[in-house]
Amino acid sequence: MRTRSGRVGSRLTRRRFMATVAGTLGATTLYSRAPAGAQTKGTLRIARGANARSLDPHINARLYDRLVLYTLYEPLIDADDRGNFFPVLARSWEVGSTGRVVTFHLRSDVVFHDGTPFTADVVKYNIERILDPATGSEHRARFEGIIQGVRAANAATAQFYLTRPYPPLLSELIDRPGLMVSPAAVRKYGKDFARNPVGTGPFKFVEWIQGSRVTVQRNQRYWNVKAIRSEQMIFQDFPEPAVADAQLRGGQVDVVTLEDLPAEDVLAFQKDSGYLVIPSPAYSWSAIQMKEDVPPFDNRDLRQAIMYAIDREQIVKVIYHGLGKATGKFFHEGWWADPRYNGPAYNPDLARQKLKASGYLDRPAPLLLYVQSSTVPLGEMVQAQMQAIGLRVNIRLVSERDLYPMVLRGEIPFSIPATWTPRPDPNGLAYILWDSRGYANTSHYRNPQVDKLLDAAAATYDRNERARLYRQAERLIVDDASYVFYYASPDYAIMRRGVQGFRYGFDLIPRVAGAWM
Amino acid sequence: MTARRFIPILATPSGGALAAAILFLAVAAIRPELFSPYNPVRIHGTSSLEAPTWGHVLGTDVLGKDVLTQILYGTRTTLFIGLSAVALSLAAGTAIGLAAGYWGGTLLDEGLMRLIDALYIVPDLVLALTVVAILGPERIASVIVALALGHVAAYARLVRGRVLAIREEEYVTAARSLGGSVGRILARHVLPQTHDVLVVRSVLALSSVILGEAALSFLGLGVQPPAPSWGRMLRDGFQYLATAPWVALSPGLAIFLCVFVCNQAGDLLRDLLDPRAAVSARAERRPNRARAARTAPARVSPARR
Amino acid sequence: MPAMWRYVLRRMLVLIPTVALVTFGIFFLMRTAVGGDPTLYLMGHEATLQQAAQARTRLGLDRPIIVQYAEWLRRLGSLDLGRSFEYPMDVGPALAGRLPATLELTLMATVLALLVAVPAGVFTAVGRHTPLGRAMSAATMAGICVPNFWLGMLLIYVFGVKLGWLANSAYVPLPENWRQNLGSMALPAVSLAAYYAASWTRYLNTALLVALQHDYVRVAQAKGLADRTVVLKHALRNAIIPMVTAVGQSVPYMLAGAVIVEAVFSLPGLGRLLSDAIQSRDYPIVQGAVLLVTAAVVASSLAVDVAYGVLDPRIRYD
Repeated sequence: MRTRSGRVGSRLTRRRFMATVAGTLGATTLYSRAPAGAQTKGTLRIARGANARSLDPHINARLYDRLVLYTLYEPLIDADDRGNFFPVLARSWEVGSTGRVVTFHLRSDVVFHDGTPFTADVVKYNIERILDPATGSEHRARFEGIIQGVRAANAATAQFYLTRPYPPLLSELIDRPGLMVSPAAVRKYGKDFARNPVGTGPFKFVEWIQGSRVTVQRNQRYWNVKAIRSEQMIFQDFPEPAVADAQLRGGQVDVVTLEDLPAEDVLAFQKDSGYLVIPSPAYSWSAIQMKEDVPPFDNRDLRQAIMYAIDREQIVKVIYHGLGKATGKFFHEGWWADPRYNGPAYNPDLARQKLKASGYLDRPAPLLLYVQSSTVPLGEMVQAQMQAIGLRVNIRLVSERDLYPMVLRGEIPFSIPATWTPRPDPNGLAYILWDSRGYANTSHYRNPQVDKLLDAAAATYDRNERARLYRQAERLIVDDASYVFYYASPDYAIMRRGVQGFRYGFDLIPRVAGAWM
Repeated sequence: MTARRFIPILATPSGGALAAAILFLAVAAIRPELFSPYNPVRIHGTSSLEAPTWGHVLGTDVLGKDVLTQILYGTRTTLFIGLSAVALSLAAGTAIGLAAGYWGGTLLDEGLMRLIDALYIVPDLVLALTVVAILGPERIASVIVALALGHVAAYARLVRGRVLAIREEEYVTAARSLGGSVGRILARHVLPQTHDVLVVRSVLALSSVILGEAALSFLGLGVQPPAPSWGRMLRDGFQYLATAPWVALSPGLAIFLCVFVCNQAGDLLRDLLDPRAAVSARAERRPNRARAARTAPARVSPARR
Repeated sequence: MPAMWRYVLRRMLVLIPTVALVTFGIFFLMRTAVGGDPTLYLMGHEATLQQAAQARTRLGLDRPIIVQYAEWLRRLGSLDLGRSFEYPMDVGPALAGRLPATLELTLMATVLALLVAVPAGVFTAVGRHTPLGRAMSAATMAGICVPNFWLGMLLIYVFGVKLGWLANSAYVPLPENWRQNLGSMALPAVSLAAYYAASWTRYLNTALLVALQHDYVRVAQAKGLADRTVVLKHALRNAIIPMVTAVGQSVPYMLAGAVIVEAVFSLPGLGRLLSDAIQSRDYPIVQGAVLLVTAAVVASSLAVDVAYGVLDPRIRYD
């Protein structure tokens, strides 16, 4: 069942991609399963994993908000499930010959929900809003030092001036910082804009009952209104997967999208013909993370010993019931993934050799592994695997909320899991995590060779060349083992049979606007 | 004096069963391996989430570990935390109560009682949640302190009340006028008068602390692994509720049993040691008219949440 | 009853320093908590240390704690509880938005518990020598020992997973659709009520047995009135006062119970808001919620005292 739906999805993707390339209006094919002029259907009810945090895409919006944001707001461009870009608010775009000017030709038939027309000035306003420190956008670091400014050449042409050629920009614009908000509404609501969202999207905001749900209503003035068939969407908050699943079985929700659905549940729904289980096209990966400048983790042999000690197959089999893949690398999809490389595999003998070489056995103090409190079994399994090669490990739990802040402050040098979702451009993650200047380089990873490769790859628009460079960098990063990769998995959306038009973005965020029941 | 009264109770069926249950819990806490052939930490990848069988009476968890074994080993954690928290709150509450009572009416008394009031008006679980978050959930000590704080107020009020009453009695005033030291008077005359009621109170507090620990663990703020914890088992099992309900539901039975034993023991001890509080409970047998109309019956329901 | 109101006023004056102590304690301790301030968590995976420092300044967290507390008090004077760190809302509306679910949960649980406890208490007193009466007494002991979150999970399993009916439907506000609302509140209310149903049954049972020893009751018995009549006519009236105490004293524990029941059932109540806020260190929300909870506790204990006066004229407030 899963395979079938997967195949259907990729066929549509190709068609959509071809359509885009052929220069037709990409957006009409965006929701290609909805026949034009069809009648609207009622309400679609979607369960998601956590409370809404913010409906301002530029400030504080989190994973589960993004699902809602894509119904209220639109980016200039989006990526399909292969990572190929297609136009949304921009009809087309081109990169200047220097690589430092990116020009977007905008649609001129778009208005915000509050009636504000969408123009190049709006684009300029949005980018400047993120760059302005007073806004307090956590996405500022993604543009700072890269975007020099935006010029509205005319109402329908926005030009991004860059400090250097930067191919990953397009991928950044798909995420939250690229979603366009209404300047008038931001001025009107001020700090309350985050719960009075106004975008150009196919749905208008109705209400947000904090801790319970967000409701959106079809936008009758949407520029591609025929593609939208649901009259209303309700996003319900369900922090407990067991509750969300019971709701789905009881028919109180139509779709469940949780980041960490238990594998058991996914498998159970896959076997049940009343439900459809759709995997995301891209994989998020997980790793054990070590901080390279803190002893004993400054010892590469020790890190590699851990890398070879991890039995990834056992983890996938036991913890994830065979869902997802055992892998030692991090580029899994897109044009940059290396099909001939799967990273290091479980090799206990080599692990013991490396451990011996590291000299760490002479100091038998147990290592302290910080484990996210929601993944205790995983931590215990990793602990057992390291103990099997003679490395003693103690576990300390850290709450989900505290894990990343503690990693970022450098307080916990040895932690699991570090989980990241891919972005539609390989630079997106590779640079921030492993370049010595990356803002999320919390391992304090320093490899001049990797820096050089990443710089070179981010400075050319030649895809083949970029792919070659990223593949080279990937092997170096994996081998240095500041991250020990062990698992990659798609997200899953489970829905009642009969729900149609649901699709995942490359970023693992569902694009539900075109879905209906 | 009390030992003689215990023995006939042990001979009754319910008393005997209770004693056996307490003995079992104590042994399970000290030597859990006596009851289970399985290793509590060993991972068995091939037998993940198996339904209950004769081999695994309560099934296995996601790592293939025997659920019953986990529960048995969890007894130690539960009782350790429970007893430590009760001991801590008993010590702190008694000290505060003694001080406030002995110097009753002074500024010290006033200050201590305001502190106690403040502890008292914040619901236990809210207090515990906050304190654990503040002290850091990764230490077992912070869980103990958090749970203990919720009971300090009750002990302090109780002891202070007793001290105020005893203070005016002749033998105490006599001891004072003879120049007895404060500590001596408290130790000789006051404490012996209160220990009965404190023992009863403590057993009942234990059941409440056990529930509190489970609740904290359930909210993700309880003890850390590898220490097995019933509340955490419940929480970790919650996500498998639809497919493997035994993982989540079995530890609840253990909590239930433990709390039940504590409450029964508490009621029994109250009858034995603290006849005044037990009066209302035994009204049938020994009528006591004087207090009935104006005061509520003593708390018969000990486990607070 | 002017004496009573004077009494209430005096009690409230005494309580002000206590509540102030609670708020300052929480305020101070939260800000010195292990794990540091919340700014990094608030910013998520895009955060940098530099941005976190700017956020700290913006939220006023870089000032001395005593200054922050004074500021909080000053705003409290104008009924402004500040703004949530985590959500784009002021604390007042955030609390108000979560209050209905918790109020409804606790009210429903109270009513359910009383509906069980009053008849069961009477029956276990009147029929204390019958097998059924004894069985019910035993059942109340069980009810007292069941952890409410475990009971909640059990109910989800039985009604949601196994039977698939009366499913714990998504929370819908009461005015919007009362049937769906009651459907979503039924299981949580039962989970919360079980303990109180059992506990109050025992309370009432004890109070009735005590009342049965009164002279006038004995006289009534001697006159040949049936036990049941005596209980219903005379003893029950006397047992109301302790019962009111029991219910009033339960308010703080019910609120604490709501924290965990709301977590199990994903209900958007005050309890879940508070436990989430504690974990994410949303200080203004924690502060406001604790203030509200302590106020509720204080109010309920005052209400119990006042109810005494109304129910029992012998009590004097002086």
